[in-house]
Amino acid sequence: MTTKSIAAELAAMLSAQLAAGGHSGQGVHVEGSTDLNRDLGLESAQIMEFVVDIEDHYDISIALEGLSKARTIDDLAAIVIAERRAAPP
Amino acid sequence: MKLLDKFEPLRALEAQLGDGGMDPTRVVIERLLSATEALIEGRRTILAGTNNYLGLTFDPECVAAGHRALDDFGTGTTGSRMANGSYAAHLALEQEIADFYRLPYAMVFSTGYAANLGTLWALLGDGDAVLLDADAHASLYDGCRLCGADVYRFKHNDPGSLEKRLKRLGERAERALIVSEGMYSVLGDLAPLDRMVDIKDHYGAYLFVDEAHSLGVFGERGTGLAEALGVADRVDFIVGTFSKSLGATGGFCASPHPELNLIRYASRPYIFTASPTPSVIATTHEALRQLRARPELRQRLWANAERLFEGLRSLELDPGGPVRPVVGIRLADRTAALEAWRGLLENGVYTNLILPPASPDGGSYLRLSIGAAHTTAQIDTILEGLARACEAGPSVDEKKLQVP
Repeated sequence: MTTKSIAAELAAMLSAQLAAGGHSGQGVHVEGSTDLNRDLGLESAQIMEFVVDIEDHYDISIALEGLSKARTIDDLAAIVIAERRAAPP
Repeated sequence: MKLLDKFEPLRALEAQLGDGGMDPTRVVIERLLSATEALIEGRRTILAGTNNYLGLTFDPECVAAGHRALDDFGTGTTGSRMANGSYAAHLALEQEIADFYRLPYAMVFSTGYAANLGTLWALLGDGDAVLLDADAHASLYDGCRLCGADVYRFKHNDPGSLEKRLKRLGERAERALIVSEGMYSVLGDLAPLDRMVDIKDHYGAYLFVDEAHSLGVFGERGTGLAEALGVADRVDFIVGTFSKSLGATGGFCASPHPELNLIRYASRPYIFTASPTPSVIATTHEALRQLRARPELRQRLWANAERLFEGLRSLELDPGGPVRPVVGIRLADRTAALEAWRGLLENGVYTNLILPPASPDGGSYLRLSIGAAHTTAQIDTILEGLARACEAGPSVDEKKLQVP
């Protein structure tokens, strides 16, 4: 999978969650460049919650320290790609 | 952009809160009238957010112990234990804590924050893994971040989410420390420690439990939630604070592992902090004796928690879950929470306002904690204040109150 296709999956996952949860970002179009805090108004706790779902979806573990600079869906997709490469087959 | 420009958003926030008299950080407690009452803005105010679970802050024996220590040992130790030596009272308190937990080793820190930072700092390093409950206290996050280990979060109080992450670690699970609390501070929800010990044993990992809010509250002997769930002897590291049930300031770690004593040589937050003040050690030690000798304090606390919950249910503010002395009521947004908090204060009830990013799920909460020293009349006044705050204006009406 490419960063682009992962980003598309993550955008779809997050859109579904926003629609279900009544978050501030509900109704905003989510794409690779979407900034989770600036564009969607997600608090850090909500972003972390989303990361836990990402981990379980791809069966990977994302360490907290790698997340500090992630702002956008594309940033998260790049982390997913890197973790999938690092994970044992 | 200059160094200090980053403070602009905080300056704006401070101005916004200050303009409406809404800044909880600017509340001044002018005088303490008892363990449950203070003068705030000139008003007699019931303290319903001070974590004073056993109401021991004005206990005559505790106060007398503090006075004696001031007379005998002075105002402070003026140095750290590693550089300046321990006082006999530090060692005696460590012995009492070990005895209380029925564990061989205990260690005292100058604050609860330092206890978490200091133990995690020393226990973890490069190549180790931490599995941290998502809603853990900031001091646990900070300790985990500082230690150099890989930190993975699991869903709050979700043993399934924890197990998935342990499984992914493979052989590294034996180098993993699971970090949880007992009762969580904002909502008062309880960790499933009984299921967590089974999981940690299965994978050969270690379990660290912060009983800050459960010490003196749970268990027949009052040691905390692990005791109440019958798993106290299976926890590797129990951490707690002196600043809640014991009415002072400071923290501790107790453990069955002899390595706890070696932490003293490895923990920078322990080595480079002045040791706890003698009067604080003395009041803490006396409060711990009272906690052990007077189970009626715990009975009164739980009777008050029952009364609070009955009242909340009748107001249709039932926070859900079992009766407990800590309640978080989720409001629609920051403004609603601020207005409800301010309304309560004006009605003579002090509570806590918990806003993002400090809140567990990005929500805005009004938090209450009650203790053994509250009278039934005070609990009823707290409930009346809640009812009024919830009727006060359009942004805090009942429709906007949500159960978490």
